[in-house]
Amino acid sequence: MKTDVVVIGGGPSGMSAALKAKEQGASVLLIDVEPRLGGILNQCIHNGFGLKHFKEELTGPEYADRLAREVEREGIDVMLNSYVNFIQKNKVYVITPNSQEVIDCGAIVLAAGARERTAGEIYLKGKRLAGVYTAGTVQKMINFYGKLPGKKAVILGSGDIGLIMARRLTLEGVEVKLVCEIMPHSSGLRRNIRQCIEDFNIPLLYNHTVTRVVGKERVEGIYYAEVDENRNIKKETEKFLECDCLLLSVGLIPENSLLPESVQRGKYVIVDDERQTSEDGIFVSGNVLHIHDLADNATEEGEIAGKFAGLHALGKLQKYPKNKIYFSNKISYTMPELVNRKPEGKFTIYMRANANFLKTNIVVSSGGKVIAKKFCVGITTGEMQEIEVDYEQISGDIFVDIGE
Amino acid sequence: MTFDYAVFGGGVIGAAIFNKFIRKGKSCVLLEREPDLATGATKANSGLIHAGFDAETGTLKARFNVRGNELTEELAKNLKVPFKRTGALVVGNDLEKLNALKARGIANGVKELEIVEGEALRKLAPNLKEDIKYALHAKSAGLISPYMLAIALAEEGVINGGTCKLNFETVSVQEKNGYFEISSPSETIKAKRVINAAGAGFNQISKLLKVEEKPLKFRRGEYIILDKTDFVKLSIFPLPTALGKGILATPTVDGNVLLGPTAEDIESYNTETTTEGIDKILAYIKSTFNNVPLNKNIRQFSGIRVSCGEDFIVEKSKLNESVVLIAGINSPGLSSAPAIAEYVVEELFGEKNKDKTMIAREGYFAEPAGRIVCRCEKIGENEIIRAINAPIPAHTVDAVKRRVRAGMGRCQGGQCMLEVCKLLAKNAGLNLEDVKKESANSFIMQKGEL
Repeated sequence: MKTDVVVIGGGPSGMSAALKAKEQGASVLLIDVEPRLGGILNQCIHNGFGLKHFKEELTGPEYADRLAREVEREGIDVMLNSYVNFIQKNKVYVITPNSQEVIDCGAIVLAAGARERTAGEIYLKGKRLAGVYTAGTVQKMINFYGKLPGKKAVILGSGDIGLIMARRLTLEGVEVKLVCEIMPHSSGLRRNIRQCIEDFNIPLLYNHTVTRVVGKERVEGIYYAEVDENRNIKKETEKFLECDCLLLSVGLIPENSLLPESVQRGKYVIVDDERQTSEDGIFVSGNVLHIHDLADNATEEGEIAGKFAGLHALGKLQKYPKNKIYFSNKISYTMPELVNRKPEGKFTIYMRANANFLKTNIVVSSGGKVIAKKFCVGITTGEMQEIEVDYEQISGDIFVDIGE
Repeated sequence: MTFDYAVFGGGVIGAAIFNKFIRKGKSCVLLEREPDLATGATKANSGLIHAGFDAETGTLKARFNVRGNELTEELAKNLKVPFKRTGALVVGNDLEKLNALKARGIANGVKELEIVEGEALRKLAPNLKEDIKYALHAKSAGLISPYMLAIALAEEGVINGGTCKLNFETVSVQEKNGYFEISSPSETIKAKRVINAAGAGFNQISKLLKVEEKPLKFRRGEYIILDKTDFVKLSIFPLPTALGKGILATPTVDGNVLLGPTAEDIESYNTETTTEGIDKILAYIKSTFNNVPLNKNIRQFSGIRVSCGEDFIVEKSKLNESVVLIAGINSPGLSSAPAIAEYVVEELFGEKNKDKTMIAREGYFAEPAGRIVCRCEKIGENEIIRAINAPIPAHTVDAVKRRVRAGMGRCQGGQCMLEVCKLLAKNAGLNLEDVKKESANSFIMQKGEL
């Protein structure tokens, strides 16, 4: 099989990438392992999606459906139930339910999403019982299968999925006895803290963690305790809480195992402003690149990756000298980390702060000169920040900081 | 149902004995209380086929380990169970102790033992800390999946005419007219002779059989599992202590790495992991190795080693000569399993005729594999369905996981567990809410529709 662009992953980012690549005139094949397009949006039946991209409030499945219909309308080839085994330059190896295929292509967009961090990864102590699940698994259990994990729940971690699930469980008649967050603040959106926790009077304890899971065959309870500023457990504060299930919302891990190690730095994938990695013709977007707060942002990023992947496959992508983007210790990462020095236009630098700030500026400088500055009220670790930069202002490597 | 032999306990020892009786053309039933085989000590150990230098010369442990090591390779091949003879190292700076270990190995009949140092040692263990100078290299040590060995032994037994009863909780045993009448709450089977290989449940079975109970002790070992990595290429032990073989770093036959076990005497059977245990492993491993890829940590677990004195107990009951007692099978129990089976069947019960040719098991390989359900381990739907419909059916989530590795990868079933539940419901004729993780009441979901 042969196509200009292969997009791996049919979630919001992948579908958006496929649409933009097609818009450039490229032929596109969109591959997903699930039986339908939409990715994780299909299980997110709550609203709050689409305000940025569609300018109206949608549920996850509605958002997915809009994009899927566009994909169909544009006549983009879609390969479902198909698993990408590995990728090479201009080649994608796929396992379909009945065969193994090699697809030749001019560019690849990896938009394979993320997976949830597990009990093992956080060294959760105690028994490995039925009743301990990641929050996303429970979301699927309730919304796809119509089943509950238990009647009395504890949630460890206050990421967005955990917050959403606290509300979802409550609405389904499950008593959410406690949400435990090891950090002094939530990594979720403020609107989710308000709408999912405060509005339902669900107890949320910061600086607390689950220390032990107990039970015979299913979860019968957990122990939890306060932690100090170094996240060490204060043993004397440990308490028992009866419950029959424990949900984990302790982070998402980009599913980037298809990428060569050469394009990775720790858990981050290094891309330029066009979302291309140092491997020629391999583009990345969505949660596999960095974890997004909103599907709308994943769509925006997919559009960038798809556009340039399309142009690359058609031989229309211009080459420019690149500059690096450095950042201060108040920032945990920026995306991208490389920028093409184009003569005109704008691009956006996304970033996450590693502490909360009340009122401050995001400052971008290049060649000793401030080239962009943005005043922000309330920067949190839970919310992605962005700042727009003019290409023509760039006169060397870029430095991003938070402060005056 | 009437049998020549009944074996209590579907761990690797029980399964090996069951298999051996079938090879001898005897009728045999394997009785397991849990919904699957291999759910006790067999599922939670280092997965090593030891060379046999560790046990005191002249003990059953030494004898069965060395013989078991010889038997395992061919057995595994016939059973289609992966086995890799990767070798083992005991590392340390006390050359005298290493030489003593080597001498004991030679006395036990272990072949291919060698003290290595310098370049040769670095080549075998590139990540070992530089200040560790010597090692005893035992080339005959190997890796196997302990639960797959047990399951395959039992499956082959079933394919060749044996009977395996899961969920069979023995509640009473009566001896009548030369038969043991063994009852669960729902049925009674009869057998002429019986073997108690019930592991941690040994004394409950002995009590029902009205034979000797033994003073059993429980020792917990905690482990950390890493996702697939080439951090170690062979099993690396410290010098042994009174508590056991110490914390090791070993590859598994599937390509993961195990770090552990700890050794902690506990009052009762309790498989919790603890902060102290995990911290102990991490501290030791960091002190012994460079470049420990802890970012690959995917799970921790603990297993219980049951001991009864220093050596294994494999003997006829003194109260009833139709009963064989097997107790205290801690390390090297897995390595010894085929040899214990041979000894029980041929020596203790005198079934010395030649083994019959067995019909081979097929395994769960499916071509095409079907839609990939477990993304981390690349396991297709058709492979899972084959495991569910196997001669010994996999009817729990963990039973599927042990057979085809769905859920063993970096996401630990986060992405596939519910799909496995759905396949179990459909192919095993269960309601979704009746799907269990492992034991009889370990339901994944609550009853009732939303």
